[in-house]
Amino acid sequence: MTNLESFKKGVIMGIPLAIGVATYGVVYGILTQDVLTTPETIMSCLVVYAGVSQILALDLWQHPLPIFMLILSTFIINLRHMLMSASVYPYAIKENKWFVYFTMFFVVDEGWALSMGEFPKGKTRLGFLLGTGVINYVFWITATMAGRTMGALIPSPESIGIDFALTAVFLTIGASSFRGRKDIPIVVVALIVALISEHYIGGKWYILAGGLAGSLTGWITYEFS
Amino acid sequence: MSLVSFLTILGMGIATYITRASGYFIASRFDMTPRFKAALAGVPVAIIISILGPELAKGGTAEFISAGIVIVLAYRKFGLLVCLGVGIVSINIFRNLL
Repeated sequence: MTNLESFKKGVIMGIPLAIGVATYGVVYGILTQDVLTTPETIMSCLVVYAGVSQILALDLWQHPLPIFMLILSTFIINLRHMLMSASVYPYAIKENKWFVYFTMFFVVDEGWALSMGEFPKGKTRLGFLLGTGVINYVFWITATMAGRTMGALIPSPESIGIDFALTAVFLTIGASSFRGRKDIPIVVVALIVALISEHYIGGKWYILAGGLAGSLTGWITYEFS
Repeated sequence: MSLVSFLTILGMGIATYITRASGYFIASRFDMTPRFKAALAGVPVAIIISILGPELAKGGTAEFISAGIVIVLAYRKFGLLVCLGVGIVSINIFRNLL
């Protein structure tokens, strides 16, 4: 199978997952109201293209912008991509490396998972991963703009509990990415460190502090999990 | 869009691309230990709990109960829209009741 054929297959097989991603896009679009301008929203989708970190950035997006914290938090929450892109390596050995680096821009959780199911079968090439990423990209920006437009129709968010929406989105992402018992020490340490540093340091640094402490706990407790 | 916003988003984009490209780059030169991989895999949960903890600590009973409901639904693999919808309905009900 050529890369072009693999790409087409990736686009088609990526559609059902892209629809799921689009629901996040709609919600993200609604949440960007009153936080980001339209060009900022579009640029975030096109340039960053990583849902969880874009949602996290909304929480930090208060003028004057905490630039360094925004960039650092984005980097850390997206570190998981390192794992995905590393696991693609064995299937990309024979590909042109610039094509690989281009494809890597489009790596998202869903497309990567689909590709990891497909690559071991041996026929599809790296273009498949690109196909899943590109279809997700198109759905992501479209859904976000749709959500933003719909959001304009919702009157006074506070009165109907929309202020709880961002929390609910994080709860959903958190609970569905919880991996069971081995995550318990990570959760406990992250929670304690976040609460303490929120109290004593202020600002939003507690997110990074808790995140780093939790990840370090994952490193330390590795033998026991 | 202000120059500051533009540069910030650009910086976020570059940071994200580095996370996407570096795994391939590193794997083509070194072996990642399973321990390192395990630590990386724990990052999202750690960050999300750090966002939520202090936020919920400031909330009242309505927030607590609603959060509990959303967690149970999400853990049972209900989709985002279901969790979000039920969460919003529940926060309204409990804010009015309590």
